[in-house]
Amino acid sequence: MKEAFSINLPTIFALIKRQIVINKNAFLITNGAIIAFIFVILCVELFVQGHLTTQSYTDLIFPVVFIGGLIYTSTIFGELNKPLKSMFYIMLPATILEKLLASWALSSILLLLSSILLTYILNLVFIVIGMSFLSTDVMVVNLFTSDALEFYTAYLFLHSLFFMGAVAFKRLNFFKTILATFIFLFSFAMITAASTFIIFSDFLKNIVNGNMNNFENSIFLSQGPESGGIYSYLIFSAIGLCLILISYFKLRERQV
Amino acid sequence: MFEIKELEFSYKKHRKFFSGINLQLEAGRIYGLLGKNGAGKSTLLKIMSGLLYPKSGTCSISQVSSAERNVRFLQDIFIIPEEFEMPSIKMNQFVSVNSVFYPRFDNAQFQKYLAEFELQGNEMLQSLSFGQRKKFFIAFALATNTRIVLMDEPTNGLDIPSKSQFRKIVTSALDDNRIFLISTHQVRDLSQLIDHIIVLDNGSILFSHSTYSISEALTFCHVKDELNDKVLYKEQVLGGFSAVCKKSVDDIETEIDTELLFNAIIANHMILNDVLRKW
Repeated sequence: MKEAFSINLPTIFALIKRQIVINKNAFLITNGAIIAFIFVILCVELFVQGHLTTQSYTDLIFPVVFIGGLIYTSTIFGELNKPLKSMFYIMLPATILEKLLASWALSSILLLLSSILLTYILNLVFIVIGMSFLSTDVMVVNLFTSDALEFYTAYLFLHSLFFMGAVAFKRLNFFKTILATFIFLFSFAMITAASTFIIFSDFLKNIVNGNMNNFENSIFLSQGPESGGIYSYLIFSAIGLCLILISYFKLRERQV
Repeated sequence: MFEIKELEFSYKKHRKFFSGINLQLEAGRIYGLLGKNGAGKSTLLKIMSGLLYPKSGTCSISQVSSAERNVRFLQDIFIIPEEFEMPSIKMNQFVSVNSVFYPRFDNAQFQKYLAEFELQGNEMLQSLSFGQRKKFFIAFALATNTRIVLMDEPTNGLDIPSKSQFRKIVTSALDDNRIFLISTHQVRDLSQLIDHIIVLDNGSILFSHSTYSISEALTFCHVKDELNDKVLYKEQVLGGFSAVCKKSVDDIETEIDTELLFNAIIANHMILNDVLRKW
């Protein structure tokens, strides 16, 4: 039991390296195409407008990282989901936790770090291009603004959802995760609406009848808007952790 | 030592696939797991390696259960499935990214096996034929030096020279600490290799005896007289019967006809087990 939760960093690095080498061709083709696309668009913008702002980069790179990252996350356990490949992966001498952490790190932290690195490399290239061909100063991007941090947080939260989908489903993981999330949220909203109606039916009737005496003191409006931010971060972090925990148990249960 | 105790397994809720299987595998031996199609050979290998979880009972190496799939267990066992898919990378890349997980992996040994299998160069795994991929995987599996190697129909897809190379390599890879379990229905391919025969049928082990005790207790001969009282099982062939007979003190030792023995076990395992038990 103790060993099941042990983590050996060299093993995690070996698992990450293995994943990169095995998917090397797909990585190169996909990333090459994406980088080329971003490069061309930024080139056009630089030559048309004569300058590039941080937003020029983030408006292009963030959506690509967001959607591409979630699609990649959905396929992170592709080896496990193919019957003829799964035996070797399951039998690979590493703990479930190490396998989980390697896949998680690769599709979240490492993906975000490499996208940041890529943005700065592109920025450097455009600084050189701007100075050489347009005699204009291209500004250095800042990817550590509050907007960018919000993006990283949102990605990490949704990542944990798609990460669980990658373990839980065996095929079409990306679409199945979206569908499952939609069904869950829809059911949750329906149940919440129905229970709210049942519990607060008298209160709602008063509102409909124009009796608003107690409305302003209701529990829903008692909290200030500023307290919502920190609570939502805490709630989403807790949900994210729960999803990763569920992924762990799903991975542990997996048989061929 | 690998030990299976009171193993029960079912794919469906109310239909038992295995019930009460007990088996002990000793180091330094090559076991042959024989059975009809659908007898559960591959399922048993999967349970032994922790790829499937038993309903009850245990499979363990030195008291480490397969269902835990802990690192120590996984470093001690390797399974070669009947069919598998390889990533589209080069042979040496496969070895470099996977061998690090096996602390006893021996590259020199691996190169030796590759040479014996006549696999050369550093080709893409996807460009190899099924038989070549299988040979590559067998070479890798044996070079990991895990204590237990489970092989599911390893000779399927191998050409005739490769089958004899396979026998040679497996024999040379065996040492006092290793156990090889070969599941097959191509009994003739491997009859010279295995030194213990296990027969699986209808969810239970019908027969588990060493080839030494089999050849001491039984003879395999051609008889003309169907009423020979030593005959335990017979099959009509041209000019008489191929038979499994009880061996007397003055009988000479004969080579085990694995196919005939298998048919005899399926027909009536109780008689054969009785003879071997008394011997």
